[in-house]
Amino acid sequence: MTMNDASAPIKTEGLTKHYKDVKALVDLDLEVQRGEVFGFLGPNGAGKTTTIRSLLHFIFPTAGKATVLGLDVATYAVEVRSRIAYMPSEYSLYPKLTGAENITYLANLRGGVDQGYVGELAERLEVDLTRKVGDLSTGNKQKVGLIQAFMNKAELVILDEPSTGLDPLMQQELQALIREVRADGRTVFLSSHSLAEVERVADRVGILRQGHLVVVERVDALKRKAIRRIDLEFEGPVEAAAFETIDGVRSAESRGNSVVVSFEGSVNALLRTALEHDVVNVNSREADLEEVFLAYYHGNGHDVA
Amino acid sequence: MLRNRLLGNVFSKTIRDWLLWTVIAVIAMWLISAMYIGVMASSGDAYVTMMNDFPEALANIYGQNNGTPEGLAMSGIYFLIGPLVLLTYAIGLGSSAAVGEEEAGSLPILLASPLRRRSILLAKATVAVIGVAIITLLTWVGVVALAGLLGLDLSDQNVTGASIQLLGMVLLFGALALGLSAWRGSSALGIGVAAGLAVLSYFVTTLLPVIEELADLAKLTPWYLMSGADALSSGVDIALLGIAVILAGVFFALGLYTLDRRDLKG
Repeated sequence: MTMNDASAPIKTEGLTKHYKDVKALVDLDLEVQRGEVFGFLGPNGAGKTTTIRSLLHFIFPTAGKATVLGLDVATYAVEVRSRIAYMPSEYSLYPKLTGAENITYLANLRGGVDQGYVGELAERLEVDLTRKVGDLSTGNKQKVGLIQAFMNKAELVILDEPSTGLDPLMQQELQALIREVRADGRTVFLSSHSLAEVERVADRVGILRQGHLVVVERVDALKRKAIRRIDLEFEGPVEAAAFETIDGVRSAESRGNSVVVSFEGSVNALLRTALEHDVVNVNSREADLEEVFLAYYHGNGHDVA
Repeated sequence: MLRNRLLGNVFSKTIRDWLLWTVIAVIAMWLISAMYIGVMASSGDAYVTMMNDFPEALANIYGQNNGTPEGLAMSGIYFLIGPLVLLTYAIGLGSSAAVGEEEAGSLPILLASPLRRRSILLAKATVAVIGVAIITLLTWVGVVALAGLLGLDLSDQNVTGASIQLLGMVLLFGALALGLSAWRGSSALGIGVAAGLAVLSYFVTTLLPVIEELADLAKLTPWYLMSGADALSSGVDIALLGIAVILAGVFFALGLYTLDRRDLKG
């Protein structure tokens, strides 16, 4: 076995997966660094889960290769899985077993699980492990899934849409757990379709669209480049043209007493122009994934992988 | 607690999962045995007279027997109804061993552990084989005990031979279900084909001998292991049993091979 602890937790070279005529993943070159939280972003069907299933050797790539913790997954799938933790996006636990029995079974299969830490996780995530999993709500099943992913303190934790079904408080707890993994020097590969979820914890983000890796960027840089939208409401009608010439503004549109502006970069110049009029209200929202994609497709075409 | 101890590995967890089905199958076999042995012990001669008046095709449905109440009881258990119970168990569990976790959606979590696909299949298939063997053994125990209790003389009936032949046939269909399910990741395919072939082979074995020119074709079916070979009177046919076991081994090996080389679903 060739094992190099200094090697990247995840590295793919030309990883490609086709399902008949569907190109689920195309020529993916990706390297995740040790001790980072890497956000893997993309809309549903972009190829995120296909990538993860290839990393775990659940599916066979059409071309290319993947190494996890320095091991070729095609050759050392079991050794790889002995050193990682995984939470799938869609899965079932054993509904006739209680949460505790589910965890006991999985802990026995993996070995090296501290039952005290399991109890601590259950307390933090506020889940009753004495109930049968089949009787639990979606959110509570998800919490049991999270416990199994964090319980063995693996070197690499792969989470595929882990916040599905969690309320905002539990999402914060999940983020805290992810940060603790990073603080331990371990690595998290966090797949999500929500930029808002990923940006709170990730160091770097890779964006996948239609099977192609669009960009790998640090989160702060990504947000700077993203197109955002701001709704400016004035005392009376204001011409959109007043905003169109501002640096970074992509479009401006008048709607009654409001002007809706799409922009990238700093908001300072935009606000200065707005304040030349009587501003009644300002609404701004986070860039969503589509807007981030637009930034890379339209403004920075050279960044598209 | 024993139930928690059974969560130690895939093998013991499978025992825990399938224990209830095994108990149900044993009870069903005992009830079937009690029914046949009870009826034949009390009014077997009337049944023999009635069977003698049956057309050949209808009489064949009960399988080969020596025309005695004891023979009718044993052919009913080991040829007609008993195989139905055992085949349902073996085909169902064979398919479940191959794709049960995959279709239930629990495989991604299970395989997040350091387990090989083939070791999961091997553990589950071993439990299924042990289950079939235990049901067959306990059926034998039940048949012998009930016959003694109800006064049916089995000295002319090779119950052990019939049990072993039945075990061979059941393992063959169970392995077929396992192999096909593992190959395509579909329990519907494995169960459908194995159960369909079992029903077909039953009718071919029982009905074709009525047509003299086609009688030999009946010997090509797995069910022939039970009826044509007449295990109740002649005992185990080693050659036929060997073929069944080898074929079962081939189906199982193909299941292992293909499962290791295909994309998992879900």
